[in-house]
Amino acid sequence: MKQQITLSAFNLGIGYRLRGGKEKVIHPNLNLQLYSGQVTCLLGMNGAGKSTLLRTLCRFQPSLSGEIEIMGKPINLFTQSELSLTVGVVLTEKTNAGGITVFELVSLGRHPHTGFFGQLKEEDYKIISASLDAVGITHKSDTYISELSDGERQKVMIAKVLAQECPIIVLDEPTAFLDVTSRIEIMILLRKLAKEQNKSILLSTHDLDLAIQMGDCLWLQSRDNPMKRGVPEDLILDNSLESFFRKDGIVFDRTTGKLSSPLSKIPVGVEGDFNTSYWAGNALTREGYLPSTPSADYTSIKCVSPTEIEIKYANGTVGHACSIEEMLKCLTNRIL
Amino acid sequence: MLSLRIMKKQIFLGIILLLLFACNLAYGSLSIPLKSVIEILFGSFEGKQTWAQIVLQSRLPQAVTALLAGSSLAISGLLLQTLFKNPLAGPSILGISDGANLGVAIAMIYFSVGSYVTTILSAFAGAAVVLIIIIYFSKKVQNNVMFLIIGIMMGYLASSVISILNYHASADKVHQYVMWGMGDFSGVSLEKLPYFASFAIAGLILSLLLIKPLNALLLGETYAANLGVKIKSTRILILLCTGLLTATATAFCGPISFIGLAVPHIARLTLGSSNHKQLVPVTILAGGCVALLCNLLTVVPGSNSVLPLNAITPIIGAPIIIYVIVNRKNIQYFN
Amino acid sequence: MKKSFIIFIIVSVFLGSCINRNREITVDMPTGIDSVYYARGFNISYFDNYISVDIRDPWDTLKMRQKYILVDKDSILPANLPEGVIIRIPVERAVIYTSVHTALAEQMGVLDKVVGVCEPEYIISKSVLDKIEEGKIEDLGSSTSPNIERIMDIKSEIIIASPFENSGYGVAEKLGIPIVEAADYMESHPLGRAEWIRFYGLLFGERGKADSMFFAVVQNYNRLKQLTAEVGKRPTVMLERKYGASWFVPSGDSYIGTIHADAGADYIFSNYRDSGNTPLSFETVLDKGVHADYWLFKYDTKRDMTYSDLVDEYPPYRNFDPFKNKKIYICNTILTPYYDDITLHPDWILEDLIYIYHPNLLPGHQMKYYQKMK
Repeated sequence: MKQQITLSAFNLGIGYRLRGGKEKVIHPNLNLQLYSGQVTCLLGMNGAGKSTLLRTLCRFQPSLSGEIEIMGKPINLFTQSELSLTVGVVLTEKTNAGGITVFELVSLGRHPHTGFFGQLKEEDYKIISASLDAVGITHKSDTYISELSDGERQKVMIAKVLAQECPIIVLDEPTAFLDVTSRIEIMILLRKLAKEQNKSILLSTHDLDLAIQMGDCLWLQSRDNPMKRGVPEDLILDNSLESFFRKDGIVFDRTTGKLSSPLSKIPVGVEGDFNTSYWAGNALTREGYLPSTPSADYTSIKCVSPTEIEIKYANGTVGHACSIEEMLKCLTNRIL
Repeated sequence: MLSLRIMKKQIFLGIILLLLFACNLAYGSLSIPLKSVIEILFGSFEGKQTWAQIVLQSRLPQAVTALLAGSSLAISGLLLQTLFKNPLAGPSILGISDGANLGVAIAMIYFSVGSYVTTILSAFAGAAVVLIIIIYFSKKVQNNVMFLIIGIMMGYLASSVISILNYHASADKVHQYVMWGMGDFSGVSLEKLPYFASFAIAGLILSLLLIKPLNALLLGETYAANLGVKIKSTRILILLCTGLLTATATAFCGPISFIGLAVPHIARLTLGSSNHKQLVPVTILAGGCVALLCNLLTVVPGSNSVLPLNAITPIIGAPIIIYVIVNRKNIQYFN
Repeated sequence: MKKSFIIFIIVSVFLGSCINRNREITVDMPTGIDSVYYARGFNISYFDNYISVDIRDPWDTLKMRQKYILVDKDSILPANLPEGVIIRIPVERAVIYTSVHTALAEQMGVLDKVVGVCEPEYIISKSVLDKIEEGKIEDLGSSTSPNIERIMDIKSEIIIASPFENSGYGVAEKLGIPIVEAADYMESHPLGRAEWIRFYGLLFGERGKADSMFFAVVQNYNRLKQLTAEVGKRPTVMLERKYGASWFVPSGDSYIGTIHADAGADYIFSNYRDSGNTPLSFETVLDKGVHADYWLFKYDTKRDMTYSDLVDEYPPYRNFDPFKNKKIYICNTILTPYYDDITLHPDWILEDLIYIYHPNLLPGHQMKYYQKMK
């Protein structure tokens, strides 16, 4: 499917208007695009203004300058109901909906489509059912919201926005309260929506791993720098992510794609079985070592299998370990 | 299924409403045999004329007034509780009934006019003034909690002016105002009933039309806006509806406490749901039931005296509120 | 050791009671007591160099509310006065809170001794209003919160005010000016209420005049009452109106109940006794009163009330016979001196009532307070 620009912002200034005509500018000049069929992840430290950006793009608060266009039409020309058919949101706000069932909440997503009294027709019921299915919560249709866990509640909110049938979906930290499995489930679901239904998905997240893994595009927002955008791998390789996360004691490692602390690294050679070597390297990095190509100048390990690891010390002695834990212990005793 | 259960509950409430209505016709300070009451209603009665006059000119309009006033106040309370996401909101909290009180106090005490028509008009005027001020502030203050506080302050302002008026007034005038403040369903005669009924019914119909946005508001104003609800105009409509219902009930019946606060909770507890599609009709029914019950209880069996209405309503209302507060962890609409 | 301690206690108690008894012996015995004929709220006792007036608590008739010790201004203040509020008589400068008592003062002829009043808007008397305008009588504002500074400024000697059950007089109590609690309105017999003028007369040095005024009223009242004693048929009467949800009916032995009975009428709720005002429902009153001969009530609007006003107020009123037969008599308390006169001239009110119920007994009488409703 051809990728279209669904949302674009030109010279967008976001921030707040204060009393007395003053403005608090969070960002003066943003140029952004959202494409159909793509999942865009918005990353940034707390206070960088992610929520402000999302709220401005959804017209929950006014921009300070510049223009926003949705489907080619300036956002301010949209009526409230037109906008409700175009952009759906999932936020972190608490609701007062404890007393209604899952089905009733998801059916609220049909509001922009139903008549004056909110009567649901057969087609509406089909869509609601499909939305419940898509997030996997049909079995709890008649449960009250107050009886759900945080993760289930989040899924219900996503089901609601699915029922709204908007081409653009904006989510503010949708994976925040979810457990590991649910997080991945949600991201997979969002990707599926993007690919299968050609939707534009924009979400803000602190989940760096999943963003890199699942995002078609990353937006890096920080207070003092212009917004960086691009495919995750490009941003890793051109050191954008590294400089983005550079903070006292934190470093983004472009080889592993992980954040770590830049302690002085003692090199340890790693070779052997691919899988074991990868995870041995992970453990070594955590302990402050630098996994490197084996050399006679420093200690090296040879991963024969996950339960058999040879340690060749720099002074020539050889040790054996039956697990990565044991290997780490040996290294700590010997090298220090 | 769920909807069948709900329908059963609604029918059950409807039956209780009719029963209470019938009780209010059959039971009063004066003992009139049930058979006679029925004959009077069907026009085949041939006994004491005073009995017919009492049933048709006193008890009947009083029961209808109680029903409509109870429903009006209950819906007022529900609208405010949903709009402000605050289960302790009620018609008195925004100062609208205090405004009505102030209007009547000014008319009775300051201008010494206590006629039927002026009392009603001044109550409406007072409520309208406070309502306009409230709506003005609703545009300026986005935060609901802050807005509620402004409403409470308006109520205090009105009360303080009333205190000043009372302080300088003669005992007679104070007494007259205090009597008005006791609450009274008997003040609307058969002739005046159409006026009262049209205002009340208009307000109730408006509330039915607001069901869709009220449900959206359960998610909060941001989500509701995203679902296409025009927040500012919806807020104003809800306030207008509340204002109309509260002002009508207060103007014709005096200030009545607790019904607006407690009945929405009774409705939610009965239904077990916050879905306004069922909640609005059930609140209307429950409001009528509670008011009719309170009206019955003003007649002390065995004695000739009547108790003031506002002494009875807290007896019903306060335990409900306490129950809700104590049990809130187990009540789903609280979480 | 213990034994002597017990003896010591017994002796002290005995001595103590002896001492008390000694103190009692020094209290004066009254040289004369004024018989109080109808009033229950006060009594007057004369002693050598002072007069003692005891006011009973109207809400708890076993308790004494206040004791006033009246001492002549010309004499020196005696040494061993009993506990009470001391007033030097005759009073020359009095502040009166209530328009009723101002009217009494005028009728006693001591208006020039009144230096301040409250709420002149309720005062009808032209002389009083003129004096206020001339500045001879100060307008002190509302009776619940009068202008304390003015009261001090005009050097009042006493304040005359009506007491209420659980309230005091606010800041005025701290002025040091004796407050005379005029509890006459709590008297349930019309003549009992009038009798208080004898107390007020003492205060202003017009005892003789007050006494004769009172006895004249007693005579007239009893004469009128005698007229109705032999009537064959006593017409039934219902009183007052619905106020909010209740119709407050006065009890048979209240002031109102008594005066209507004395006028030769049969009040439909005269069987209610000792109960102040009972709140009844409309239906109870309709049941009892629908065939009443007359309906009397008071109202306080600036213009006269009519039958259409009444039906506007509450349409079911038209079911009563007195409404249908146009036998409703009303008293406008703003336009007539009803409240001014009711204290000292219950006989004038009685006259109006007798004329309503038995016009043949008082031919040619012009009603002062009541009129037929139009």
